[in-house]
Amino acid sequence: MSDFVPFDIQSEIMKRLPVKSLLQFRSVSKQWKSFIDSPKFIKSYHVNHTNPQHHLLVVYKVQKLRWLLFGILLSVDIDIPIPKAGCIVAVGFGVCRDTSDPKLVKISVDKISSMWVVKVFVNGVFYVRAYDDASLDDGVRSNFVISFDLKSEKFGEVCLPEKLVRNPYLDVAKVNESLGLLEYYDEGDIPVCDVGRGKMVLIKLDDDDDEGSRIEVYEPLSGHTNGVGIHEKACMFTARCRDQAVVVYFAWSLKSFSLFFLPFLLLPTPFLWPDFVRLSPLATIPVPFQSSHGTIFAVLQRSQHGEAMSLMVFDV
Amino acid sequence: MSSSSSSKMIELRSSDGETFHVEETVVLQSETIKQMIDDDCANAAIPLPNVTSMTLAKVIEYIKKHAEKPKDDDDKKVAEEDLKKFDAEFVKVDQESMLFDLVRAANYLNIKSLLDLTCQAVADSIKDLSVEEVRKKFNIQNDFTPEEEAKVRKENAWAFD
Repeated sequence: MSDFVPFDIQSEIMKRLPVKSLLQFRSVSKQWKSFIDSPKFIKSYHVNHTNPQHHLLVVYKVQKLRWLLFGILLSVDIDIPIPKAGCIVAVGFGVCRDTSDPKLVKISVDKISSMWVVKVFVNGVFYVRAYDDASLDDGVRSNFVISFDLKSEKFGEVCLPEKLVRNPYLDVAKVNESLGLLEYYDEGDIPVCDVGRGKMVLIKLDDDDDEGSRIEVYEPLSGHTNGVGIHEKACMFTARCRDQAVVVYFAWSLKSFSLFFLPFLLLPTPFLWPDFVRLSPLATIPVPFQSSHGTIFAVLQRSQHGEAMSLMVFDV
Repeated sequence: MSSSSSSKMIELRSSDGETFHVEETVVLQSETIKQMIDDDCANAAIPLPNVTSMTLAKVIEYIKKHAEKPKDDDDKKVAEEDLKKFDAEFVKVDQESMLFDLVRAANYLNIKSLLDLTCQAVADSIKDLSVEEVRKKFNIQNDFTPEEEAKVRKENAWAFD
């Protein structure tokens, strides 16, 4: 191709390249690199690409977190040193919607003995559920929900109703652009998720069965229980309510994962992780993502031994 | 087809002097030409100095096809399928230079759907190329020093192994 192709046309073509090619083509020329790295491009790229194949990401490095976030944030070249900490640290990661600035929030634990998991992102504020089991004399833990505004960088605390403070199975979820609280109850070995608005879904994780685990969705109105065709022998098996769907997460081994998204009472859509997601065997793996309108969230955990990290970002 | 006889014809002249007569309703897909018509500059043949007759003929084939209006809903579905097939075939050109000519023409004439289609075709054709091949294709001079280039490559290396 010897004819001159003006840069504005080159850039039109770049907008339509998949992420992997874009990353590679950053080294074509300085002009290409600065175009691909520009916040304007990153924003427009995200708007134009809703196909999941364009999203992804993972990176971990000892003591240093280097990330590239695909989707809203592409290939931002930064190293974020993670401060050393002796105990488990949870790090939340997000993008400020107004400025497109990446933000990394480290939550170090002092009095609080549990990990905080960044769970919900609503209108530029993310929420984490935390609990403190050392604060009460009777040893019963008390829940709280912390908010963090990515723009103002201010923390806040969400006032919980009294009855939820002591509930041992409390979780946060995003329900229709609002922060929702999930109360899990124990009914035998069946965890129960109440998603509010009169809609109740029960998930049965049948761990007793040697053959594997099973998921069933229970409709309280009709009293029907429907198997959703997931019956797996997985080494890790978790389910969470997320927006209008139940997300089921399997790990067959440290290198093989599947996520299933179950729109309420519909059949599951299997979804496989991209091949190039790598995990350190030392990393602890939570249900690793939370995404909301172009803002991608990750949970990062440091293993108790302190050396390995995994950041997993996945935009669904 | 509603190619009514009342529709005004617009005359387009390619860079090599060939003239094409196209219905105004069809040619309005080009924002550039639409602007000229709105500005009342289309009384004589519209010169398109950046577009060769070969490319212009292809562009006109495209906008004519995309101007067809389905009669009813059933027809609409069929037409959509048909259009998809047409688009897929349209970008299967023998010569790559033709594809680039079409991108340039779509850009110049400001026909968004054609620009989308052709740019996507180019993107699909280059996505698996090496950096060197991309430079060659677009005539791009590598302005990185070897050290700089190695650094940029290293930044993303993890994504590829």
